[in-house]
Amino acid sequence: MQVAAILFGALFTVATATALGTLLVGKACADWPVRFVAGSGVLSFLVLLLAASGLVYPTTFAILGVAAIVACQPWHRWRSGDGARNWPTASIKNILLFVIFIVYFYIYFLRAMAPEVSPDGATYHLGLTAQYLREHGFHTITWNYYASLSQGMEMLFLFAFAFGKHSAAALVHLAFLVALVWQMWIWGARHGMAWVGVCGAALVALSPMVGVDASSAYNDVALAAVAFTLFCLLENWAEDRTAGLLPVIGILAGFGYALKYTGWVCVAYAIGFVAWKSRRVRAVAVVAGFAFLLVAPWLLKNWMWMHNPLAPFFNSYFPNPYVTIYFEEDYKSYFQIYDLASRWQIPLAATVHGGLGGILGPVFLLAPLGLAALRKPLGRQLWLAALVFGANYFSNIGTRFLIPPLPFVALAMAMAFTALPGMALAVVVLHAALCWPPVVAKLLPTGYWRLAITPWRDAFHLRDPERYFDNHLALYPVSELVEKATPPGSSVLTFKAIPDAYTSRRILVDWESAANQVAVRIFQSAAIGTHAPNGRLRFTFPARRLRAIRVNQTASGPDVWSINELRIFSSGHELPREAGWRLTAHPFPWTIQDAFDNSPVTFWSSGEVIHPGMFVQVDCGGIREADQVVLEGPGDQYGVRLELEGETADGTWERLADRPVVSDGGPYLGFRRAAAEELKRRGIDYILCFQDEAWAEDVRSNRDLWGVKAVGAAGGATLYKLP
Amino acid sequence: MPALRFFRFHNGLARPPLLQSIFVLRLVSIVLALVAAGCGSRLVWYPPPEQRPSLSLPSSLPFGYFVAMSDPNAGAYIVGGFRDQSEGAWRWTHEHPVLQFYLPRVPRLRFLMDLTFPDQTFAQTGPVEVTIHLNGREFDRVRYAKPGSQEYSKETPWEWLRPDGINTVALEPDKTAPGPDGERLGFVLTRVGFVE
Repeated sequence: MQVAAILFGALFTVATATALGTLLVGKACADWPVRFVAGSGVLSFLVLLLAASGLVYPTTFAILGVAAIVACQPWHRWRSGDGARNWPTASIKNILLFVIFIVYFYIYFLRAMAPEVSPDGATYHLGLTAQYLREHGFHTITWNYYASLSQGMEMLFLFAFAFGKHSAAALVHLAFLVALVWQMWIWGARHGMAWVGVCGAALVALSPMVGVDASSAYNDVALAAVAFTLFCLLENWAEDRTAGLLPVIGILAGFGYALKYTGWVCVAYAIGFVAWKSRRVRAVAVVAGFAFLLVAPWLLKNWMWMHNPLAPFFNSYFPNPYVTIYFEEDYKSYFQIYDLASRWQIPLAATVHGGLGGILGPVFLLAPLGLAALRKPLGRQLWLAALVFGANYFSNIGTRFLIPPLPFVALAMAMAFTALPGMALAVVVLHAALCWPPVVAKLLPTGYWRLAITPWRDAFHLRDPERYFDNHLALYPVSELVEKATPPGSSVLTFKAIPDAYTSRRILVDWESAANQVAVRIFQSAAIGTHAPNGRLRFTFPARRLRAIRVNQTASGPDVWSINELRIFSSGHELPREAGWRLTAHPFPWTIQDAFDNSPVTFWSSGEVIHPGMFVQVDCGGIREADQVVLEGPGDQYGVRLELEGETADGTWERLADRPVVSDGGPYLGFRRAAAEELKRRGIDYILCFQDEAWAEDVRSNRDLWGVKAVGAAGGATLYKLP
Repeated sequence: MPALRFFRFHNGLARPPLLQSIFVLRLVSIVLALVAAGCGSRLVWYPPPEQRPSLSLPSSLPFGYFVAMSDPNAGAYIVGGFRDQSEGAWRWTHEHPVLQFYLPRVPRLRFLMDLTFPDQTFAQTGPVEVTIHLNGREFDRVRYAKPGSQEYSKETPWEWLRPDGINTVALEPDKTAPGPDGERLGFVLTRVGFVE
């Protein structure tokens, strides 16, 4: 029954997308890949509208799917594409490649059918999908920045997930690989180079990175399929200028962005290509308009909920309380180099060693030979497209970010190889041998993402999935623990991303939002003393009558400035914080109240590394006499340089003190309990501590001081209930 | 450029190129103004929030449960046996240093101190044994066989302490070294007190 639901979910999604694509494309193009990929864009958009309207139910999806299929009248419309009229002859080399394709796709199919265990698929791709289904649509999510990424693929997953759960979603992604391979072959056949198309498709499809990605609930292969379909449609349009293709081109371009932010190049490519070829505003406007139709909802959603249309990026242009600039910079700088010592290591890491999260296969070290294709116009088009669709690569050098330009590179390689008799076949056979999963397992160290041959009993859910999870998803037991040991609606703070696609609880992962990072810092400052507010920065000055005070930060450096409490004194007595006071800070003003709540566990943070111009300001709402200002905060902000200014009774600003005197305030008693209560106050009900985490022992041995209660343990983690 | 000659007047006069039209210029101006406004640094003001119960001791007390020698108020904790002036973040002890602390009632406490035996004095004293007295009772003896910074920490049963009251701590080194002014120097204390 489960297998039937999975297959139905996936096939119904593919059929609905194909039907919508058929309605969209009409007679302009008869190729299934174009109809499926373009229709997926339409389906994704329609599901998005349903999600925005709170109408995410299997019933609405069923109605939508059936209506689309009936409307396109497949029994009348179905025709073979142009390429389909030129089936390859039954030569030995064709049969050999056909067998290789069948074997590899069977492995991918088994993998996709099995329970979803991919790192991102089992966490946010399907975690958010499952949440949308549970909640019947979108709701504001500020605690997980992944929810701010464009989610065109998740909308397709949602459609499939509603019927077949996790594996159905993975199968939908696999359908994009089928479409890509098919489209590459059609492209080759259309240019009288079917063998080039087939060999290029084989180079792509057999690649370990492509295989494992396509058979998981990811989106990279879908983006590659969109990019290549767009490339083909633009080529078709350039030849015959069929006006009906322009909306399809626009939708495909917009769908590229909707699938993944890095797909913005699809929009740029489509608009640039049409503008260059047509020199007509109307044609460009049609493409841009339809592209914008699919792009705009994601911008709007983020603007409304995250105050940043491009969240979680560009936070310096769109400051918001949900993602800090510090996090963004840190995130970007890591993904620009990973753990490599130099970018010169990328070729080997991406093809052989796997240091970038997987490998394309050693054969792609021969990619420079594909430059020989530059001798031909088609080769130049391929390389241009590869450059455009690879333009984002250096913003994240992970191997899978090479998938979108890969089809173009592979075809260029195939064009070069076919110049020598037998060369292309030899390279493909070598590629097939080197990409065979057990061979890849020997190439890649444990821990890197790679495909394993899934036993068919696991794929068809004939065995207890627990066993499969034990071998492939180490943290599944933790998700299971969370689901069993906590009541519905609970929130769990964790320092490791557990597979939240398998729990309905809200999982707050350390780095996934500014609020989570604050919660983690509160916790860690109590558990291991990191950034504990033991520092005292004391500004002392002759007693003055002041309207306001302002603490300016004047240095630049890698530190992030934070203040746990800011207190103003007069003659040794702290001025009470009156209702008429007004507080602000620059940057990150949204949490400034946390520096004035009398709690040492809460804090204001600048959210970005220090630079001159940062300040915290208190307007006292009247004239107050003061002679001392004390900042309580971490004692490890060595790069921060502060000065104090005051607004005198006559409204002029004067410098009150050039620098503070620094002292150690010592630890607070009751800090752990206060931290635990603060986390609870912030809506966190439980905290997960893994054995290998530095703070685990403190929580375990000081449960009485924390006021927490252990409610279960699994997968190396203990789940504590906060007081 | 066809793209810039998209529109024409009905009377046959050419309109200005589209990208130079008033409409486009106005649109661009509005968008730029909105972007500039969005990127501006307008201040957002907030009132003070609800005040939380204090974790610190009442400010009427001159001393608490823990002191760092960098604290301007460190003198309030010292009963005797220290150099008069602070050397910044640390202080020299003499032969019989004694401190006082106010301890609130909390579930558990550990006595903690950060101390240092400088090379110069250690060369004269050799290994030093420090006896710790809590409220007049010998709590522990610790032998320091090497110079340098040391951290001492030990769980303290409540029967040794006076909750919600003043507690004295005496730290007696068995050997001291002569100082420049004829005084006897024990060790350097940085932080001392009770933690959870």
